[in-house]
Amino acid sequence: MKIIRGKSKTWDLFIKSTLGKVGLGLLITFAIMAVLSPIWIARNPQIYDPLTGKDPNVFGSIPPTMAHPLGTDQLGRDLLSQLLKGSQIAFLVGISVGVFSTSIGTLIGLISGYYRGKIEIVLMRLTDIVMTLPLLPLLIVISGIFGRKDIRMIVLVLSLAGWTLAARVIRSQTLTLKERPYIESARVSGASNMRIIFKHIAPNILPLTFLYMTIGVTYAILTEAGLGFLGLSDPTISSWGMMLQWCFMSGYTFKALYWMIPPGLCISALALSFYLVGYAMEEIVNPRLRER
Amino acid sequence: MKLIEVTDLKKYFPVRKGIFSKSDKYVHAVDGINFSVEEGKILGLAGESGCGKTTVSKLLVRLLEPTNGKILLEGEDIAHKKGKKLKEFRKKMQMIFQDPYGSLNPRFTVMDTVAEPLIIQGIGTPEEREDAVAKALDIVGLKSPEEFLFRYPHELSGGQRQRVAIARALVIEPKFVAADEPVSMLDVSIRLGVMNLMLELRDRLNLTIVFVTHDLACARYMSDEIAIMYLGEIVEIAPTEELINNPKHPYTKALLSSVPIPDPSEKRKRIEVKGRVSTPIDPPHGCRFAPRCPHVTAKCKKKDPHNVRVSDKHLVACHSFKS
Amino acid sequence: MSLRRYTVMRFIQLLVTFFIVMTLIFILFRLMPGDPGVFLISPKMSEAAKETIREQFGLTKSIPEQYIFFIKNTLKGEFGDSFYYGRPVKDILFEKILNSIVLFTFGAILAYAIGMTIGKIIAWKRGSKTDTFFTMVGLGFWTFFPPWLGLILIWIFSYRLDLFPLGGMITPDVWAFNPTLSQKIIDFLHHLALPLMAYVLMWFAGSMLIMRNSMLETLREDYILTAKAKGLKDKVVRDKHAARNAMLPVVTSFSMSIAFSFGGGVLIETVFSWPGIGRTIVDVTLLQDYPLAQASFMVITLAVLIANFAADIVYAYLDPRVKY
Ligand SMILES: Nc1ncnc2c1ncn2[C@@H]1O[C@H](COP(=O)(O)OP(=O)(O)OP(=O)(O)O)[C@@H](O)[C@H]1O
Ligand SMILES: [Mg+2]
Repeated sequence: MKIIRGKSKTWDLFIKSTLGKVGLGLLITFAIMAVLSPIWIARNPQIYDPLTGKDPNVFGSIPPTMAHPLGTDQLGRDLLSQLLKGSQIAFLVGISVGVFSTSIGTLIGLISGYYRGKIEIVLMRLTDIVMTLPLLPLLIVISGIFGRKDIRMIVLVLSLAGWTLAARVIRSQTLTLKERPYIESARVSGASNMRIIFKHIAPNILPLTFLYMTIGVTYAILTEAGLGFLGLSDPTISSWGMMLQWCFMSGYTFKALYWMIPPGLCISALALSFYLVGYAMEEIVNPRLRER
Repeated sequence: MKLIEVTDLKKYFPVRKGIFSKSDKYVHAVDGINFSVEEGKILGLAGESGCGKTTVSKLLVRLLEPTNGKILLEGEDIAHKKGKKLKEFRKKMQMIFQDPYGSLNPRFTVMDTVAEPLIIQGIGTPEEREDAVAKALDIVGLKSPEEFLFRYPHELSGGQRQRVAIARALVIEPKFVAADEPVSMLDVSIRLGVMNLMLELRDRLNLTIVFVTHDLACARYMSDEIAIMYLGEIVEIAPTEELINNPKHPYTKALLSSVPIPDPSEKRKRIEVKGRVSTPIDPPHGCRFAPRCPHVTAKCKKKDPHNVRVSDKHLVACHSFKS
Repeated sequence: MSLRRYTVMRFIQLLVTFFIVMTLIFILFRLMPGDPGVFLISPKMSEAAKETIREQFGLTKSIPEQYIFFIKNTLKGEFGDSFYYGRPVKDILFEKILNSIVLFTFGAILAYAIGMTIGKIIAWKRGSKTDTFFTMVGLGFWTFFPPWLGLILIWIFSYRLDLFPLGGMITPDVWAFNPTLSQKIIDFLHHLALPLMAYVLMWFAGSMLIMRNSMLETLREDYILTAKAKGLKDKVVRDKHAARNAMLPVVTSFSMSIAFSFGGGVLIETVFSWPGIGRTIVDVTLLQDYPLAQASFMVITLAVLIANFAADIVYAYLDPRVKY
């Protein structure tokens, strides 16, 4: 009840924002694609499985037909099927990285902002360092070292590297929140540090956490797609980045726009939709931007 | 019985320069004060902005740890208590804050806010707590508590918020309450109501209160005794009527002359004395008030004045007064 | 804290960070499955060459000793021989990093110049159609998948319109027959145009959106109102008074986005076959040329760190209030 009522004002403002509505609309579209994926494949997995399927009547990549509304790739695999599956993968990667990295960032931000002193200095230097790591090259090198490319490892590395921005912002927010009288009021009653951090401060930075989660999702989607495009993502799943890589490597790039356009469009649009949701949120969460 | 007794209480804050460099300068926010309050009585603590009133209240409820001195609550020194022992004492003392807009968590309902001290101290079952909350709300004049229990602070008026804050302070039945300018941010029209409430609660619950204010009229209305603070020190302390009618310290006199009508519902009068208050960063020897004092002598600038007894309960710290 | 002390502190931080990255790389490569030293010794090497490498990197010694060898060699720029090229890694990298720096620097300057200019104009005309248009376009490009953007540019400008080459940095045929300097330059710029455009499109929106927001905040400050009240021309108030102060957050964001933009750079170099460090790290990883991959990563990291360092110093110089 608390959360719902606390948020409803934010929600009202959010739904009034055009950009927020566009973002949410796109998001729902992709969610529907993700849900449709198994249904589409289930029609005939031998033909429609995004990785192992093959239409026996098709040789080489073909443009859209009735059976293959988006055409097929050079191996005769259904492109629509790959695209729908890709939506699932993108959501999975994006949201897990978003949740993990923002949780780490929130925790580090809360702790360094609340305890100050040496802890703060150490954590903020750590943040500076991680922030300057060139992530994509690091992932490239790691995939080279371990040879086997595993989506779980990619999610892990992205999460371990992607928390810095959230940590910085949440730290400075914590710094101002912890000076509020209601924090002192809780302390007078004997509240422990843990209670103050998690019951009093954390709920008040929730909107901010959510905002940085959308940014984290955007960056995860784009980075994983980048790896896929370079042929360094998990080969056992069909992600949009991989689709584009297959298209690029098989030399169909400019001969088969029906193949080249959809995955890139989906990557960009899904990243955009999360970013728009965040952008609309920010106008609400950050009152200084809203007042104008 | 003395419920709370403070001896030579000091709080120095280091003056910060940057993150890495702590300077060796200190703000003497509270610089050796002594007073005691009898059970069931109200002590008014008055003074200009920046004289250390808030710091004293926070020291009393141990939001801050004193640099020096003793704070005896029912005879036991709580000045340096920590952890579990301090938490035990927190059942006995509470604080009411100046800003009713900041002292309630915007994401807590009235119920959450008022019940929190009980939850933290592990008192009662959920049902018992709910009853206690309803009772506390009733006591502070929020009749029909059901109507308020699930409201959020932004759905309350300033006066209602301060009443909720008071209910929260009283719900664990403390012995002692430090009230830091509890009415200064409220509309003049509702100040009297809140002050009357506090007086009434004092009578009903036998509370002991330190009532901080920058408004002498409020102090007079509320207190049994008044202490006047100046730059971290108490310059004069006496029973209310004695202090008003027979002030000895030049600073008290100056304050009183600027407060002719002791009616709290009257337009608020800030204490004003000519000159500006400085910040007590490593203050030199001598009387703190000397630079602004009309009766200043050479001695005032060299020697710290000691407390002189005017009568049994009337103390003043001024060289010009001889008993 | 004085600017000089800040610079020194910040430089120490750079060194510490680089040290940590070196250590990270050392550990990661030693976690590699296979024989010890697979990351330096190619199966194709002669026995003598293998022995030299073992010697040079202390591979027969204990791990802590290997670590010391590794640090020393890295600081000297010794990364072993490339498996693929069979030449010392440092010779190959020097040229590649130069090619990347050219692209990155031109890209950064153009993207920021364009972004900040548009940002300040649309902030001034807040709420207008121009504002909405550029904000939308900016948001769109900001989340555009960089290689896809590259492919589309190639499709339009090279494939359909035949205005620019499909990729690469120079046309070997032109350079083989004693071209004049101007021919060389023209050929180079001809190749640079498209990847540069991709860089700018991918990157301008960040600075534009931040400039817009920061400008909006600046415009509410008293001194801007005063300047307006004094009857100064709009353009003067906008460019001389507001924009200068609004720039600070853009510089911060630049410093924070460098690492991320290098990632985009890797993708763009790959799409346009630009012979830079980003494309190299991808190629050599796929070729399992570990010495070159390892060195490329360290060079990229060092470049990012230096760029970051420079941005922070510029920021401190611009903003006298900076507190470390
Ligand atoms: N945490 C702190 N660190 C450093 N100095 C402080 C701190 N808290 C208070 N001070 C200083 O101590 C002095 C007394 O402050 P305090 O807040 O107690 O005054 P006050 O009498 O409550 O004033 P007001 O009427 O404005 O509330 C001031 O000079 C203040 O700047
Ligand atoms: Mg105060």
